[in-house]
Amino acid sequence: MESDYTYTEAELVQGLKARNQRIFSYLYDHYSPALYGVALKILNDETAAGDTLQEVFLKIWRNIDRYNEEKGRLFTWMLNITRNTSIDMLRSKAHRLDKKIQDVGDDVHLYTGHLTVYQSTDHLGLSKVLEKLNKEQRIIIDLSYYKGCTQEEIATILNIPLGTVKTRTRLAMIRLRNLLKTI
Amino acid sequence: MSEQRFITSGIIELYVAGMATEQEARELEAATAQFPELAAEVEACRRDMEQYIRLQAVAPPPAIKEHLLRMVSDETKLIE
Repeated sequence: MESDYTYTEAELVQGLKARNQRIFSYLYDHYSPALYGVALKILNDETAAGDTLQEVFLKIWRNIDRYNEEKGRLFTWMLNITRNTSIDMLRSKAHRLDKKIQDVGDDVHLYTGHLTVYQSTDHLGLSKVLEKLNKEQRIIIDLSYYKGCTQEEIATILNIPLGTVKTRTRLAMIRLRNLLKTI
Repeated sequence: MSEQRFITSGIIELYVAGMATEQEARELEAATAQFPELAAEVEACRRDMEQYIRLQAVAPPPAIKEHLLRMVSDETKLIE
């Protein structure tokens, strides 16, 4: 699946703009697991996540001319497309807030099997991080990043004041960043 | 807001986590265009968030790639 040669982001962008299908295939091999992981986390449904992943890569292929490297890295751009497409899909499915929080609580265990299959080293790193973040810190990060919840929605879900949401999010992010340095 | 106040306010973390309000995001984006150090802070935080995301990677079903490559190939032929 993977060749020895690794392309830089600039080479990938150039290849995509030149409509190079070999580069597209390489891009898919290298980035689809990360993007599929995001879609799966947001949607908590393999079929919907698969459909979304396909839509995301078609958008990347068709809209590469809109990508502006001055505004950010290619991976960040692709992640934004994935989050937006997945969150649109989630909203179209009219998920209720309590369903959102239920998904966040469940999925850590649900996807452990897949993670092991994909890359055991990453899985170990993830377990290490998840173990040390407390449940509320994990939920805050996941609700905001993956579910696209606003500060108000998170305050409602966790039943805490709005100002507290900001403080706790910041602490959760700082903790996450420190934990990532240890793996 | 001064550059240092952005860094200590926690807005960067909220922004990267996707939770900043539209106004907060606009203010931060305007400030990063002005202060390279602030832009570097946001980028460092974003890279960490992206590492957390990468840790949660999952291999997609193989059929998706085949289907995509076929669609892209058909589209390219159509344009040519």
